[in-house]
Amino acid sequence: MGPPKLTRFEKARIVGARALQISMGAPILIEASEKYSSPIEIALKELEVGILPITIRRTLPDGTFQDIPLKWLLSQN
Amino acid sequence: MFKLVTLQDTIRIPPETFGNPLEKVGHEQVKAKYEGVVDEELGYVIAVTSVDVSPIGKIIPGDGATYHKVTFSLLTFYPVLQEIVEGDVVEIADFGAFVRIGPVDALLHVSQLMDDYMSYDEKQGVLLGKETKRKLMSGDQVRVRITAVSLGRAGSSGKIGVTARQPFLGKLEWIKLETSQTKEAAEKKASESKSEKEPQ
Repeated sequence: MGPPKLTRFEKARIVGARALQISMGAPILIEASEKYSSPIEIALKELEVGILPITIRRTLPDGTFQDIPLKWLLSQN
Repeated sequence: MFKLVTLQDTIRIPPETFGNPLEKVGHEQVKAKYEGVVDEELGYVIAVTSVDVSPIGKIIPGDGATYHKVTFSLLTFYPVLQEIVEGDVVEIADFGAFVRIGPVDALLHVSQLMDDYMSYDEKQGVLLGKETKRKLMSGDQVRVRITAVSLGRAGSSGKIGVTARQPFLGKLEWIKLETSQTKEAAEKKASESKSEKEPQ
């Protein structure tokens, strides 16, 4: 269901949620370095590397949904 | 009575605990939410026994935490009217005794203690029956019946009223005495009716 790639809306939602988690003290899943100075940058990098254990639930207006692992969406392009 | 209740709820797993085992964090969260709670339906929640956290959580916009469905068991104490319970007397006052019947103390009022005129000895902390000479002091074990239950609303603590004023209730020694007396009486009666029949 939906395009076989990560849409810009999904990307924004994931980076936003992940950055908030990091800012609230969640452990970082990539090698921490001086290069990344903000939670948003770290979240973007994590998404790029593709190690976030997140599944996207695409829901239709009629309530049906499909769960798509983030890894699968990233591997499509 | 004590009960094991299995419930379902959604709990928040804070992001700072993400690296730790989910079961452990979930147990802590459920404990923080439920332990010590007094509820109209549950009674007194004493402990969280088992917790089963769903490994899939939901990320809600505006919060960095994940929300997980959780199934857990609670050990609760629910005082039921007319229930017979046993407990230790923990405190004596001029108006009665406090009996520990689980996580809470129940009030055994002087008027509900026995069929006698009660006097209170302040120095020794003893309640004394004038005619029966029965004493009740701190540390005694009593068997009582729950007659009033009020689980406190927010702010006020609940109160439980109990009675011992009926046959086979009260201090365990009195009950022993009473049962042996009734047994003797019954045996006497049985042998009497037997001897009455024999001559015929």
